[in-house]
Amino acid sequence: MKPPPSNSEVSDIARKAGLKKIATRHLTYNRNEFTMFLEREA
Amino acid sequence: MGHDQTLMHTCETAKEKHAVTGASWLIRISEIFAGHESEIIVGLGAQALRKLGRDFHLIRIKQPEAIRHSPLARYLRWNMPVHHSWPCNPRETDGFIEKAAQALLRKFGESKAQTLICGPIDPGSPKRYDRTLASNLRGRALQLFPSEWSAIKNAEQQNPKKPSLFCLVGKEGLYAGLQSPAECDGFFPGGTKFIPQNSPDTISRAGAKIAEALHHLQLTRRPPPGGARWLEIGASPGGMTTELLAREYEVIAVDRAPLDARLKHRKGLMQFVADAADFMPPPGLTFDAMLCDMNGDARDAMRQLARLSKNLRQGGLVIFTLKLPGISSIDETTTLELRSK
Repeated sequence: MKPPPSNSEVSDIARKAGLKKIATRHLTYNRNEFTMFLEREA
Repeated sequence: MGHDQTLMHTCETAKEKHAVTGASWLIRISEIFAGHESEIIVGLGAQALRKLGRDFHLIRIKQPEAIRHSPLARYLRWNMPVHHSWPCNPRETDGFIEKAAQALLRKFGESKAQTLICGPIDPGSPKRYDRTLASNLRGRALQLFPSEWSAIKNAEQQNPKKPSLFCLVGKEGLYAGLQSPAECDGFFPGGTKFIPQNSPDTISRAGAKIAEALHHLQLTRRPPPGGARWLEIGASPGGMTTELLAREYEVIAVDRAPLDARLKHRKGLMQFVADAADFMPPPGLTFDAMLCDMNGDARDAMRQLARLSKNLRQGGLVIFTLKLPGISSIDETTTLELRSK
């Protein structure tokens, strides 16, 4: 079984594709999870 | 000692205490982290003073910047410095609303706040008095404050960077503070307005997640304009798709399972019944935004988004749910995060 991912591991995959992280938040309707906001770099 | 003198005395005493031991702050830790609140508060270098309602905590903190910059900050849904408090039971206090409104005017009437936003400490209270107390207090206070405080009719009209006077009220009393919505991390006291999840039109609870995410996004940037095209992978049964369509967005929904039958023939929806890993956008198709709330390993889900982001326009938005199955403690999550840096 794979170890659980971290925010940074997932962010690294995004960054290599040119997706820049804006924020990571635990919102009211999240459970055992976080909402990440990213944008494609110009 | 009169009520006014009591308030002033309380404030002076509080200021003296802050100078010695730190600032009073109100933080909200979602109920999903119940049992871990102490770990989070201690990790922030703070001291718990009192729990308010289901998920608010009054704390004393020496370095308030930890609320925004600590690795544990992600567990806080909302925060507010406490510049004024009146611990009491409003229901048992004669003329509470009038006295509270007058006290807010005296203390904050000449501040540079853009408006006053009140909210309940316990939005789920079954008692009508508790549910209406915040709106009644705001209504009375705004009659007293300068007229420009009333210009904002909807919380989302606030400038996220300018301070507002936030006020939480409930059976535990009244707690108010000046801070911008962006610093508080939400336009409403507590973070977000209540989003119902049990209406006949609700397809899944995921709809509330994207509704709140789009609300939160306005703290930092404009959401995509109406008519923008979203790609959603892992879209079934369609809870998020429904919310996007309701905002007049176009949606390309990809999932190996079909969407809920209620979405059949919905205007603006293009459905692809395919595994996200096999989906290839038709030639020339581009997206303004992408969305993923898929279960399974978050790395695999992000790899699919990364692959498909070639068709995302520059500056385009991505909203991604980072799911952490198997994580059972705050310490475990934070350790993983720090270890991978």
